[in-house]
Order: sequence, then structure tokens, then C-alpha cells
Amino acid sequence: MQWQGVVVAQQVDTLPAVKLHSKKLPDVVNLPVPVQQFNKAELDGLNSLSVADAVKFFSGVLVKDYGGIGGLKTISVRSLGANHTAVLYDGVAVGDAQGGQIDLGKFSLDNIESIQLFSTQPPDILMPARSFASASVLSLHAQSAERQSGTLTLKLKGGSFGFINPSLSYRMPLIGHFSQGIQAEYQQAHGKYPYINYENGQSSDKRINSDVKSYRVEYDAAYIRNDSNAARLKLYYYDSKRGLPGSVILYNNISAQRLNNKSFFTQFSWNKTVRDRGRLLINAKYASDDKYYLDPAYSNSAGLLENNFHLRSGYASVAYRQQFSTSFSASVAVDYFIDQLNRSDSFVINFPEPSRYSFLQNIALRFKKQRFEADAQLLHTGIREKVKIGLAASARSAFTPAFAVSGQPFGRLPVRLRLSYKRIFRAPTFDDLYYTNIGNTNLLPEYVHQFNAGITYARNSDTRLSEFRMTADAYLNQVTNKIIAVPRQNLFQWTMSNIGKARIRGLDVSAHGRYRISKEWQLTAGISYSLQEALDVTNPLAYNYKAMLPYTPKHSGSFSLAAGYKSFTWSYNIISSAYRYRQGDLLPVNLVQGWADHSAAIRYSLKTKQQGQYVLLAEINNLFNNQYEVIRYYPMPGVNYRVGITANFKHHHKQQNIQK
Amino acid sequence: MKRSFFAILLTGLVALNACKKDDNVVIPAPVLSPATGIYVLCEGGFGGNNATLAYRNVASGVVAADFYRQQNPTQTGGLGDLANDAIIYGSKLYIVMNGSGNVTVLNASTGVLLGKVSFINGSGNKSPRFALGARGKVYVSSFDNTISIIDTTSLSITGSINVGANPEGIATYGNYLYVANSGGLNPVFDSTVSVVDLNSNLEIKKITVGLNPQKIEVNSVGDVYVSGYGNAFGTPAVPPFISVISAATNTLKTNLGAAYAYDHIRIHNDTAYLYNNYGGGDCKVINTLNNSVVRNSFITDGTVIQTSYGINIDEQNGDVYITDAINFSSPGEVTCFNRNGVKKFSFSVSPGIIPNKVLFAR
Repeated sequence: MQWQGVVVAQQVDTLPAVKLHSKKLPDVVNLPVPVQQFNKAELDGLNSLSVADAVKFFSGVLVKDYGGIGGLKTISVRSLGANHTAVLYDGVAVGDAQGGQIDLGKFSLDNIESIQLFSTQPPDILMPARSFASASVLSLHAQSAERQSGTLTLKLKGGSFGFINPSLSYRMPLIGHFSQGIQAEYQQAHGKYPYINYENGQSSDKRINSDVKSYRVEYDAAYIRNDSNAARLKLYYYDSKRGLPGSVILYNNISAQRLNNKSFFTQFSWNKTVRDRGRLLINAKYASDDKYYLDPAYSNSAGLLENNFHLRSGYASVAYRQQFSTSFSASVAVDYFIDQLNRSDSFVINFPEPSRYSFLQNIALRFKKQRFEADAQLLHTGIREKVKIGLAASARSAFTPAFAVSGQPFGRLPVRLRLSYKRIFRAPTFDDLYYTNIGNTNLLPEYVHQFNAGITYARNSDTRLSEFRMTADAYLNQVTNKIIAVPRQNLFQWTMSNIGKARIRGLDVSAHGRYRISKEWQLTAGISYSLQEALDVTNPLAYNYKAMLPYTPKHSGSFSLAAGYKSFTWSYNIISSAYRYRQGDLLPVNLVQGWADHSAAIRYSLKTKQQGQYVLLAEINNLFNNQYEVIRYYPMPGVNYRVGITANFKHHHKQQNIQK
Repeated sequence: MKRSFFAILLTGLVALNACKKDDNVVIPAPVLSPATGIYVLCEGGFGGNNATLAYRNVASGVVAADFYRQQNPTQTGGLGDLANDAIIYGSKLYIVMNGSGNVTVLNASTGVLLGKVSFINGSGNKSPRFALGARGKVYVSSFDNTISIIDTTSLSITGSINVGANPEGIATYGNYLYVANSGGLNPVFDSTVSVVDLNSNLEIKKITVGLNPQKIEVNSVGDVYVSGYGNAFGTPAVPPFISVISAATNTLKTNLGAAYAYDHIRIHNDTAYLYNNYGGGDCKVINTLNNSVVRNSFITDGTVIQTSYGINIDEQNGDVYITDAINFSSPGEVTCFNRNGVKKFSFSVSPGIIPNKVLFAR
């Protein structure tokens, strides 16, 4: 399946044994809210190792990339920051009540079938209430267990800076309507990549303490009775140990801090048609996240500092959708979840051990005709908290509405207009509220007004230009009560405060096309561009009033091109960002230069007589060895390479089991 | 440009003249000539590698915002990360680089780099904090619970004194060195001052003061004033404090109490300026000979300082320089007041941020 990867190969794939029951992706131009997506084939063409690498190609997205395979990578959609993007893994939210910033570098693309980014909200109204509670939603779909035959896939990738990445995937049908699969992956890299010395701008230094080792195991089981009755169970475990190289500090090359992560979750999802026109969706999840941080050279009396955090979360959701007529449907969703944070290390005093109880209800109405759609929705969020020591944040309750319309006003001309509004409530995280000496339990939630107006054009035809689509969306985000850190007492002790107001205006443009040159040659191209102005409008008297928010470039964009010829695929990708500032004070010393990162890859797939298939892959990243930073003093790797081989085997005998 | 170069040259000559015996001078010349230049140290942001040293030519009023790089063009990286303190001792200017882990030594007249004393120690940064010149040596407190002794000629560390947890400010009177042990990196803060005998370079006792002590200043009669943060985040919160130690007996003399709850102090001619370096702009003036309040508000002409982060006094004329850290990210400003709290002039140190110290070249 991985070799389907080449952008065009998917169409000419002739191996029925590995056809996936992949979820059909929505037609992005017909939706009332902006949607961007990559399927497996497109993902394979992007030289991306993790989800973080792939989402850099979406317009309106900035990935705060601290460099290297183990470096933190968080998403900021339309400059609202990582806390405003919900991440769904197979339809269920991946929560981080502690910091609220999910490291997308931890999600390998190895078993990801598709990635979708919904600006404002998902287009399906039958979703857990939590899916509607964020300013944007990044939805990841892993390979599903449902298939008709057993398959075994072995992969091995290797590359620069000690990168080794074997993985294994085994899918098999069980009796009756049951099937299962297991997926395991290991990654390691020493991460000692060279960068230009900051002290003299000439000699080459090597990044130190940038190593990472991680493994991931996933087990899936599915019961697929038919389209109207399906249940899925997933168990997921991820374990990583990494160095935290930190920002480069001039004249001081000490770096020894470590971070170990252990994440486990199990989730269950059941989807059933009720009578004719109703549909029920039940989700349940349990998750645990353990974070161990070590500074082995800390100047306290112990000579080291440890933080050992344990986050436990339980989650249940019931959603129901009723189709009242061909054009009118409505849904309700009720979610309840509990997050609890503990700390177990000898350096903790009076840790409050907060527990948060969240209760979300969502009502959505949808009117949909062929050329017109209108959605209205109301979300209620209720949060209360308990602490063992100290004061808990007070209970919060908020109603936040959302509206969206889209239509095709010019008859058969495939041009659609869309308009949406959404109000967002972002509760402070545990770190915001309770972090020792920093947290502030008086924090108010952050609110955002999101407006979007867009136009789309799409044409699919039998001509050589078989696919073409364009989208353009203008947006305005108004943020109030923005939660930001301000210094208090000394530079090591900051406190969280609600003092910010931000106004973010922008334009996201994208185009995608597929062109058939000849029977054997095909081209696919995508381009995206974002223009934005993200301003601090907190205090008209302040020096930084109407100054660009930190790390918000005015221009950014991406380009990808893939060419397929028989069993070969070539791809070429560019991601680029204009200059930006690392602080709201637009001083030359805070300027971070613009950059462009080019990458190229070639893939060859070979089919053998024994129902096996092999794919060979070679990638070159940062082709021009551009020395750049996304975050100031976190240098990005220069030119680097990856090669890989994939072998896929089909098991005939297993197929007998599921013949009915 | 030419004019400022000339001025620097002149400054250099004057300074060289003033201190012929260089660093072995135990007591600086009692008669001070007027300042010809004003150095302003800007701390820079945590991890920002943007510490700067600004220089204002007194005659022309011209400010060289990044004087260090200007005078040391080969040092393209600049000073480095987190300039926590600076002193002029003898003919040299010592800059304590907390993040970069060194003491950067300049010619105090020209700003030319003479050398760096490394505080990187095997696998760690000792994290140097404050410096003090005494007995021909420079004493530097470091977060690794030591005072390092720097030889001012060889510019190397020739000795180390063990003190309490995470020492900050240091002061000297008679044969003693007084060190504020903050313990700021421990879960429970320290609340002691180490007394070090300068003849043996050994800590001879610890005196209990308020919680999380930071700064130490001494008046003419040997009263050692210690200010500290307390713990604003404690349950219950502990306010800032001023404690007074008698150098004659090396015992605690008094805690000044709630009306003197300030975390920073600067003493000049027995007058103490008390301020909070994260809590607004104004400061309280007291007479340390009897602890009476001279003025509750130092500034008398309505000038507004947003965040007074450092106070330094020109010992020649008693002018008071208050550095304003603004919001800790915007360019810093320095305002000069006469001793009556009336503004004389101010200047920006842009792009320098978080100015914390003013020094005078003569």
C-alpha cells in the first residue's frame, strides 16, 4: 500500500489485494468551511516523516518547528496558536489538558492514510461535541483493520544523522465480520546535524543532545457488519526518549536536558443506523500520558531537576443525527470527559493535582440542497475543576455559536461561495492555571471571533486536465483575553495573564491540478499561498501596539509537483516563509529571516509474481542546504537524505476464512 | 563617528591617568573626575543571545547602542546571553554573562575585549550572577553555590569559596564578604547571608535574614542592608523585605518591616534607594544612619518609570540613573535624575532590552 504513495500511481495501481477500504475524502470545494486534505498517495509525495512535516503544505498553517527529528513541532492555524487546533485520531480527540500543545512530530506518517485540516470545524455534523470546540481541527486517519485479506508490510528507512526507522504492519481477517491488525514502528536518530556557528557566522557546529529514540505499537480490531453497523477498537502505545537541545546559547554549548514520554490510549467507536433516518455514534476513550523531564545539571541543592507528570483522561461521547427530509438534518452530541494531572517527583511541593470535568453539548442543524447549504450550531461548554491543594479555578460555562452557508450562485458554473462565523472558547490549560509559580487560577478563557469568506472553483473532466480546483478564503480572527506569559519577580518566573488582544486578517489561496501528458506520463501539482497580518492590539499606548505577533510571517506558501511514469514517480516540494519577528517589538535583533526549503524524491515500485510488491524510495531534503530557523536560535537541519524499502506480501490462505 | 572615537580615546587617556597602578589599587582614588561616558548594560531576554552594552558619550549625548560590537568588530555574535551584572574595577570592565557562562572583560575606557573568564565547568554552566571588586580581585557569585575569585591580571579563576544556595548579591566591609544566599532554584528558598573572611577565603558563618535575599549594600558605618523577594507565590505569600546586619558583630541588627518591603536596594552616601524591580517605577529613599524616610517617592517631578529595573548613582555628582525595563521586551530606557528626584535627561538603549546597570567611565 505504501507504494501507492506516488501521487499518480494510485490511479494505475493494479493490485487488487491491497486495495484499501480507505475512507472517501470529502469534496473540499463544496463545503461551507475551508478544508484541506492529503490522501495517502499525496502524503507519500511530500517527503514527510511526521504529520508535522505534511501539514506545512497546507495554506494558513505555520508549524513551529524547533528542528531535528526529535524537536517539538506544533501547529498554528491562522496564527491562533496550537491551543486552538484540536487533533483527532480516527475521529476521537487527542487531548492535552496539561499544555494544550500537541507535538505533531510524534505522529509518524507511517500508518496515516489521510490528513484533513478543517478551518473552523469538521463538515460532518455527526461528530463528538468536542470536535466542534476548537478554531480548527486536524483530523488524522490511521490505516484501518478492515480488509478482505491478510497483508504483511515490512518497511525500513534510513538516513542522515543516524536515522533508522523499521516498521511492520500485519493485517488479518478474523472470523465472521471481525478483522484485526497490528502496527509497530521504531525510530532513532542521533540528530547531530551541522549548522553554521552563531558566534562567528562561519565555522560549522554540530547540534548536540538532539537524539531521539521512539517506538509505537498500535492494535486495531474492527467489526464491520455492513455500512449501517460498524465498531472499531484501537489500542495505541508510544514511548520516546529524547534530548532537549534547547536554543543555541552563544559561548555555552552545554545541553543535557532530557524528556521521556509514554502515551497510551484505547478508544472504541460504534456507529449504527437507527431505523431509517437516524444514525448513532458512540465513542469512548481512556488515555494516559507520562512526561518525565530531567535537567541533570541544575543548580539546586540536589544538583538536578526532575519533573514527572502523569495525565489521565477518560472520555465518553454520544452523538445522534436525524435526517428529517432529503434536505434537512439535525444532530445532537453530548461529551463528558475527565482530565487529571499528577506529579510524582521529589521536587514538587504543594502540587494541586488538578482534575477537570468537562461537559460539552452540541446541537447542529443542516439544510442542504444541491447547490446550497446552510449550517447552524450551538455548543455549550461547562467546565469545573477540583484541586487537592490551593484554589481551583472557578467553574466556567459558555455558549458558542457557529454559522456557515455555501452556494453555487451561477447556475452550472462550478463556482461556489462560502461564508462562516464561529465563536471559540478556549479554556486555560493546567499549565496556565497551576504551573508552579507561573500558573494563575484567576485566568479567564480566551475567546475568538472567527469570520471566513471564500470562493472555490472545481472542475473534474475526462480531458487531459482531469482535475482542477482553486480555493480562496479571506478571514478575520479577533482574539480577546489572550492568555500570555508575562514576567514576574525575575526572568525565571513568569506568570500567565489575560492581557492580550489580537487581530489576525488573512487570505489563503490554493490550487491543485492533475494533468495527463500521455498514457504513461502524469503530472500533479499543488500550490498554496497565505497572506496574513497578525497584530497585537492590546494596548494603544504600548510600544508594540499593532506590531506583528511573534512568528507570524506576512507571506508563506508551499508548492508540490509530482510526475509519474510507469513504475517511477518523481516529486519536488518547496515550503517557504517570509521574514517574521521573534518578539512583538519589531527590532532588527528580533528579526528572523525568511527561508525556503526544497526537497525532492524518487520512488520505484516493483511488482513480483508472488503477489508481493516492493517499493524503493530515495529522498533528499533541504536540497540547497539552506541554513534557516523557524524559531530563532533553533537551527534547522541542512541538506539530508533518506532511503527506504518497503515489502508487501499478501496471504492467500487467510482469505478463505472470510468466505461466507 | 569621528567625534565619538576621539571622545573614547580621550576617555581612555583620562582613565589610564586616573589609575596608573592598574588593578593593584586597593582603594580607588578618592577624588573622582566627572563621568565622560555612561555604560548601560542590557540583560537581554532569556535564551535570546541579545545582551548588549550601550555607551553614551556625556559630552555629545550620542548613544552607541551596541558599543561592544562596535569596539570589537570581530565579535560578530555579540556579548551573548543574559548579562546579569557589570562592574568597573581598576581599568577593566567586567560583564557577568549568566546564560553564556563567562565573565567578559573589557578595557573600561575603550570597550575593547581583553578576555573571557569561562564559567562553563565540565558538563554545566556555573551560572555567574554578580561581581564585586575587592583587594585587587574580582569576586563573582554563581548559582553553583560558590564565589569565584578572578585574578585581574591573568583573567583566570584562582580560587573558589563555598557559600549557601544560589548566591546572588555580594558586598564587602572590612575583612568580610557578605553573600545573599537566595536558594531561588530550590523548592524551599534560602534565607541566609554568608559571611566570608577575606583573609582565609572561608565562610565563617551564616546569618538568617528574610526569605530569598537578593541584594546587599553597605553604608559608611558598617550596616549591611539585605533586600529580597520573599515569595509572592507562597501560601501564604511572603512579602519582600529589608534586613540589616551589623558588620561589627556579624549579627542581625533589625528587620525593617512592612513599610520597607522592597526587593532591591542601592546605597550611596548612607542614602538608600529602595525599589521593586518587577513592581512599578518609583522608589523610596531612606537615611540608613537612622532608617528614617527621606521621601516615600524619589521622583518629585512627575516623571513616570514603568519598571525600575536598576538604580545606579554617579558617585561624583550624586545623580541617580534609573533603568526602565518597560515590559521586558520593548527597548529599554535610562533616565537620569538629580538627587532631588528631578529629571535631567533620558535616553533609549534600543535595541537593547532590560537595562539593569549603569556604570561611569571617567
